[in-house]
Amino acid sequence: MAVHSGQPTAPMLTDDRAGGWERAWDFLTSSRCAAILLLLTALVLLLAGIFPQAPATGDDAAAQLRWLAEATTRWGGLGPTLRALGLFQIATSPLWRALLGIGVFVLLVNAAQELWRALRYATPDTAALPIRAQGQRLAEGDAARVLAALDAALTQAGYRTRTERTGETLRLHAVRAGWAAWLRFGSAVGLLLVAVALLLSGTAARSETAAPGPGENVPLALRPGWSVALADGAQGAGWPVVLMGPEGEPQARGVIAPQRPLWAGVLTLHMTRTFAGVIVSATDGQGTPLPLQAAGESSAVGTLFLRFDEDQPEQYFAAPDVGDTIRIALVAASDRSAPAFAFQVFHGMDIQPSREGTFSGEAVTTSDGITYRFTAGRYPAVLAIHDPSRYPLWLGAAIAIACLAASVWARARAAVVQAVQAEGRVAVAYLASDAETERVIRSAL
Amino acid sequence: MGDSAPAIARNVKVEHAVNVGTIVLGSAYATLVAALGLWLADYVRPIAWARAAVRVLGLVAAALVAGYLLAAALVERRPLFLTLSDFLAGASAGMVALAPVAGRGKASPVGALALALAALTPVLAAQPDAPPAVDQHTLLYIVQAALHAIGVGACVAALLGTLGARSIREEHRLADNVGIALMGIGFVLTSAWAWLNWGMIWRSDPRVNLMAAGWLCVCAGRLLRAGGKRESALRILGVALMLIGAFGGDWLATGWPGLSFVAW
Repeated sequence: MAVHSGQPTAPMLTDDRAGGWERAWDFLTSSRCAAILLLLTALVLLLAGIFPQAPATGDDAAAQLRWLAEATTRWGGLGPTLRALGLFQIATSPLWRALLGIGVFVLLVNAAQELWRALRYATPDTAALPIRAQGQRLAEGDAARVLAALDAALTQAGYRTRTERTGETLRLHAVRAGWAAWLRFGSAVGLLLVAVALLLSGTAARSETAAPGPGENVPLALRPGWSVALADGAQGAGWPVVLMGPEGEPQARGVIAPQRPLWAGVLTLHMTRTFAGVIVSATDGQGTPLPLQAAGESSAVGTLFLRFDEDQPEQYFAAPDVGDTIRIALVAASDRSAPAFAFQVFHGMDIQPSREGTFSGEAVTTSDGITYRFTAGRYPAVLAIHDPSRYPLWLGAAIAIACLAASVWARARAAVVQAVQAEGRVAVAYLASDAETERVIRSAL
Repeated sequence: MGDSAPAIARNVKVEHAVNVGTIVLGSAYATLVAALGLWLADYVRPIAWARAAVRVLGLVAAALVAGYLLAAALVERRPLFLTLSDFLAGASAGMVALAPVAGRGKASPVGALALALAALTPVLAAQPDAPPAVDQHTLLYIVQAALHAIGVGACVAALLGTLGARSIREEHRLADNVGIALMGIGFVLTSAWAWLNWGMIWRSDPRVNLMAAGWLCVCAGRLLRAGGKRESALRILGVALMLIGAFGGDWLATGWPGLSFVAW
């Protein structure tokens, strides 16, 4: 900035946004405020990097409580305090929520500021101009000719210009790529959407684990009336599933696999793991199907499906019509191999099994004329997620990235130059949005 | 009475816990780390013989990795590039061998990517004990992992740009901005990957959390535009956090209970 002293002095273009509320507004829309928010976010992430974070376990609240108790114990005397502060669950802690809330407010103010600026960029004045450079000069000659020279230089540099006269004062407005001001507004809106989505996600997102067996419809508490079922024919690591609506009509159908979720509008189904299962049926000597009743169930069915995992490695069921009780235990299981089982058939009140053995895949055994058929296999556990915040989140991220990337190449530039004729000399004052615009003005002066 | 201790000792056939393959692969990793360390040291303060030494060390690492993979294919009759970590180990060794050692203030993207891949190799080699069961042979997984590697690579490139920019600031503003932007895209991709895999947008992995915290510090410094002590301090803090996240996060994670979810 060059200032020439002497008479007459240049009429100052002043920034009249320095009042109380204006000062607060300026702080909220300043880089300093953004930097402070970023540093606070960095602090939260740092805490999340130092202190262990509770894993998301679907709807298994007991597992999460066990995890929290273990983590609290590991940190000794500090543990309860850390847990109370939410430092083991930063994503749901008041600290993170408060920061997100402040971020949403600040981004809202910024979006309003950028909208106002973008709307007024076509006819810039000192209020709309983001001031990065300003200066004054004294020039010889006529004010109109000085501004005309400036006008020519700015027009040659690609600026769109407009001159207005107010009394003795001439004012030149210049804008280049004014449309690019909308990119800043787009960035602010994109980031605002992301922050709102993150804020909502903590309260609106729900998840639920389902483990459907063959031919079963597992109801989803997330969406009353909706259910998930397996379709026929596993495809390698993938499983065909059907999401049924309240009327029993299919809402979505597709194959789920690790890293291959099924998107079904309001719900997303993820395959989280597989579990071992056994399909059991029984027939008597004439080939008539016998009803089977699983332990803890009040009714008998023709075909049973039994689920096994590390917490529940054995299952009992009965064939009430013939007085048999059958125990099946998981012997070996891994996600990548077929599960192996051991079975024992007890007749009546006998303590010793009348039949026992192991199987993997399909097996048939006969005890006292009753034929039992076992079919072992692996089945998918499904995590159903209802997260309405995901749409604004990804939309916001896409808008913010696109606008920020575009603003690297296209930047709105503007300047206001004011000239006053006095005693054969011209007092010129200018405000510019950036250093390049200032360079054009100074070279023309 | 049972057998005496010496008698038991005589009857015990000692199995070697470390086989030749482990030694070869370990040597390759050690050579690779030495090459990367030398490359970084040369970057911070130029060393006359570093370029040639890094190339030799990188070639040795690449040869050891290739030898290991070939031997495994011939002896154990397993296919080449069975897992993504094999691919990354070979690729990172090869890239270090080919990476030009740029002068101070000039970040080499190839070297940065090699560094990122080296940092990612043990991460990707770690198999989650619990869900999700990752199928390493899917194209989707490879694409996502590659995108994440590029994101981390961008982190490292910006980090090096930051180090260099201390002496030649203005010349590197654009590279610095692009690096910071790529880091941001990298974190968004990480987030998208987590969503596709586990249905959540952010897994509380200490490595990613620390790297993101470092990136935010660099961004905050960039926003302040002070060009002075505050900006430099924030950059150095950010760089330190990113380095700790990339290479020390595993150590931090050992103190975490219920740890299967920590592995990518």
